[in-house]
Amino acid sequence: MNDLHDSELSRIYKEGAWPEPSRQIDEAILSASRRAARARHPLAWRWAPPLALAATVVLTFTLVLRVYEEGPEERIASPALPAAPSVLGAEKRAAPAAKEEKTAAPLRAASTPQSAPVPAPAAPPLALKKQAPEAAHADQVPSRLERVREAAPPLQGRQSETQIQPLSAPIHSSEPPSPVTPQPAAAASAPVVSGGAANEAATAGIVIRRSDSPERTPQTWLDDIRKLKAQGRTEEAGRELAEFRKRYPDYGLPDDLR
Amino acid sequence: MGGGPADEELMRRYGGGDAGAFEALYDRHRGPLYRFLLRQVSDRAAAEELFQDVWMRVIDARGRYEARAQFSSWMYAIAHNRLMDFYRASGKAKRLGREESEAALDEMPAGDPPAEVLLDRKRSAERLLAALAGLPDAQREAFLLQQEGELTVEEIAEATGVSRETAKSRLRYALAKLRASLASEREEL
Repeated sequence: MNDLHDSELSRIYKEGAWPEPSRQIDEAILSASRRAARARHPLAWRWAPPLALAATVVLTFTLVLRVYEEGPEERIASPALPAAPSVLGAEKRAAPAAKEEKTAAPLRAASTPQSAPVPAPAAPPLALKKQAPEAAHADQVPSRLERVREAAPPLQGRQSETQIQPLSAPIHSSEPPSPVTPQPAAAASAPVVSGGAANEAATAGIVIRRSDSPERTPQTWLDDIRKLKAQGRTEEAGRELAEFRKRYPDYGLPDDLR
Repeated sequence: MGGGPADEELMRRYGGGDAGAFEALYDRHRGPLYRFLLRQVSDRAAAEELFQDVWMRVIDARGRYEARAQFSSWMYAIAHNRLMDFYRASGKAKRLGREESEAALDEMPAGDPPAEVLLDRKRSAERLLAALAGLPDAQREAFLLQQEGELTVEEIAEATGVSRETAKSRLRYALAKLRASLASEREEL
């Protein structure tokens, strides 16, 4: 026992009656507690308005960004088409610098075409945003190029540096994303060189449209020509090819269509 | 307080929507809190009203509760505040004002304890409770917080909003008076 705790007193106190609240009071309090627990969580209630606001802001921002990105893509679709043939060459030249170029400053790439004596088609600034996903694959570019070189030595030998050089500009200036662009099934079955190069071209500034669309992609067009040839309609295929050359003079034709 | 989760954990769970946690908490504290209030106001109806009110405040505070202090200190602080309101409403405020004076501290228990408190109790306990009922409110509260709430001197000080020294002084006087009351009973026997 000390002066602040007396066990004898405590014992005697606890030997006394132990009145307790009535059952009705217990029931009333426990019912109220259950009702409160079932009711909206106070913290959730407190955080609901700011969370709703944050969600609205994020959704709005996402929507605006999406609209903002999709708009320019439509505008650049046609101007970018002439740039498509340069992709293979552009890859050859740009690949060593691709990592630093694409990851460091996509905007600088547009404004300072390192290896582009031919002025690049004026690409809307937003198109450059599309390079971001491409940059993620920048380290894949050399290996892809190696694959192309191995698979297509004639093409590599035929295209000189001077031919390639001017064509590399568009890849920097108007290269839209490839990951989001659906690839036609025919492209996948195309030969490695032509298909790969054309696919690259298709991803280098062309918005893929449906084949029945008046604006066919070069790849789709070439696939159509192949189909014509396969069907024995060589004359028609020749006409289409001539038209294609006229439309895309710089486009590197795949071997099977030369 | 026995085994199982701490009071603070139960309250936190209840704040998260666990009604069972509140039931465990209630089961632990219903008796002590009720007796604390009943022995302060000496009126069953008033004690039940205060008791219910304290628990409703605990329920309402479930989302704001932060385990900075012991749950029991926090809960008895609510009970203390409600008691103060009750005293003011029932005209006992003057007693509260003078309880710290030397005169008040030297006062011996006076007045008869309520009849319901005296019924069917052992004699010593009856005497003790009678002496307790006659203590100044603050001293009785300190004693009850120690006995029913199992609070330390520091926690009593926190619950009643006074300094540790004041709480210690109240408790010391309460114990001294209760001991004196029991001693006088033994002498009578």
